[in-house]
Amino acid sequence: MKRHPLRWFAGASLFAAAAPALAYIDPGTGSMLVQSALALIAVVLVAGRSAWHKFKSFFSRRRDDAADREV
Amino acid sequence: MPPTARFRPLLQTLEPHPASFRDPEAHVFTAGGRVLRALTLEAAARYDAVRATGLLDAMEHEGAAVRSSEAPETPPPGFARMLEHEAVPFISYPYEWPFALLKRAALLHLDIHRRALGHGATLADASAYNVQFRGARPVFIDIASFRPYRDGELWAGHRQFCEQFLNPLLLAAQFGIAHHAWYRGSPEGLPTAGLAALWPARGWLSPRALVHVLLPASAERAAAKRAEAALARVGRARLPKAGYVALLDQLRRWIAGLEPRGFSATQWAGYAQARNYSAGALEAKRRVVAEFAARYRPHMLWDLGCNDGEFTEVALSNGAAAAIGFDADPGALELACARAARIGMAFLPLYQDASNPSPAQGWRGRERAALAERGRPDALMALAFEHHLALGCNLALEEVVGFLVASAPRGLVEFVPKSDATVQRMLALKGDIFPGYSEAAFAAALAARARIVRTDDLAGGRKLFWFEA
Repeated sequence: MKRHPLRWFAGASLFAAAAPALAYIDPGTGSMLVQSALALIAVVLVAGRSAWHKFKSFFSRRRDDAADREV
Repeated sequence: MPPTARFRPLLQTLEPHPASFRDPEAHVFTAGGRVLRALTLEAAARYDAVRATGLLDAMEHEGAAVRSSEAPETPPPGFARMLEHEAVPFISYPYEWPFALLKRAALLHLDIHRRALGHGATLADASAYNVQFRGARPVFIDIASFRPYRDGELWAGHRQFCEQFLNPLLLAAQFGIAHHAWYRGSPEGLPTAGLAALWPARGWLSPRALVHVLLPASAERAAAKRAEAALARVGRARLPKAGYVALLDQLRRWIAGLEPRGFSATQWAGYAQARNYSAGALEAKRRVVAEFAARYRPHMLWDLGCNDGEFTEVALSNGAAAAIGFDADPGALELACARAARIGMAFLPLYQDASNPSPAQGWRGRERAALAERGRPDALMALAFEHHLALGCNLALEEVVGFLVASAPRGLVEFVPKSDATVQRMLALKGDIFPGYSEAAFAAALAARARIVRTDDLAGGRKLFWFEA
């Protein structure tokens, strides 16, 4: 695997998940709150999508099973 | 190798750059026209890490970022390394950029941020002042604002991006108001709350307006009431990288489609079509401009009242190496930007009202320099310009000529007589309160301050004066 030059940053970030943004600007609470809400929506969407896939695959498996039986 | 072996003592005094105080880990200094940046150990480590990804090399190669190299000077106390940056020919500010240039700068910023994320890095801020122009091409100058991307982090620069790029563009695209006056009065950007207050109710149906304008403004208001809860929530929040990228992409699509509303109907945008020049008169004027540029071959030419840049292009094609065109009409500036992109020459169109030029402002009135402090051209052109100051702003001819002669060591100035149709229109409602306005008075004022080296008569009593100060 190609060694990414910034991989040590990624490792360090595991220990700093809730640290300030290291930005020397004020990020603004309004913008950050919207992003945290978007993150929630994204999680819901991703969870929803995987639930939908499970739901679909459940039925397609049933259909496959039915097709198998017909053979 | 011990680090001191590389260093050499300073040859020139380092002048701290008055706008470089926000990032405590990287300060910009100037030294005799050179641009140097001092980095702390931490900032130097980040610079090395980003440099190692190949991102900076690629951006420098494409002209998207200024070239940076190690400088041999001893860093000032508290800093560990010195970089030298390629200087841009002229520093300009977002409140001087025409809509088209602010848009190009915004797209460059988003593209660089997007690419940085692909390399495991991000940008610590989203300041419009981190973009400058070479000709009409944007270039990123703040190499020290790259930071490692931490998984799940929020986009800290989102608000700044909106206030310094998106909101001024929306002001023109949504409401038909050019951003220059508001931005100049608020150099840190246009507050989102202000834009949200203007936004029509149907904006609540637009996901883009919701995410970047309306919700941030109302969340800001809500957070002011319950600050502790808001901070706790933000502290816990994690934005998946895909969400981060989606925000950048959404903004990119939105901004790429923005066009200023109503600018094509501004006074001068249709000037080239509407003016009552005969083809012969126009050709004569073009020929004189070409001869002026060929004779002086200025490294930097300022075209005051450049309109759509027609004559700026003639000068650039005939010996001027680079030009800045100033105009106060947003519609004409859009045409000039389109021309600059088309001809691909070193032509930078900027918004400027000669009767109220950009002042020095920001912290201690030094952070953003006044126009006159940012350079002086080798030559200027002021074609069909002086009468706007003399008759439009009621400035005495001596004042107008004094200003022109003080602005450049040589120039080409067009005098427009009172009998001219455009002057007659200007005076129709105002009345002729200018008994002293005449070609003879203009020539006398110029001769008292500079040497008139040549004159060329144009149609309708207009005349071109060549001066050397």
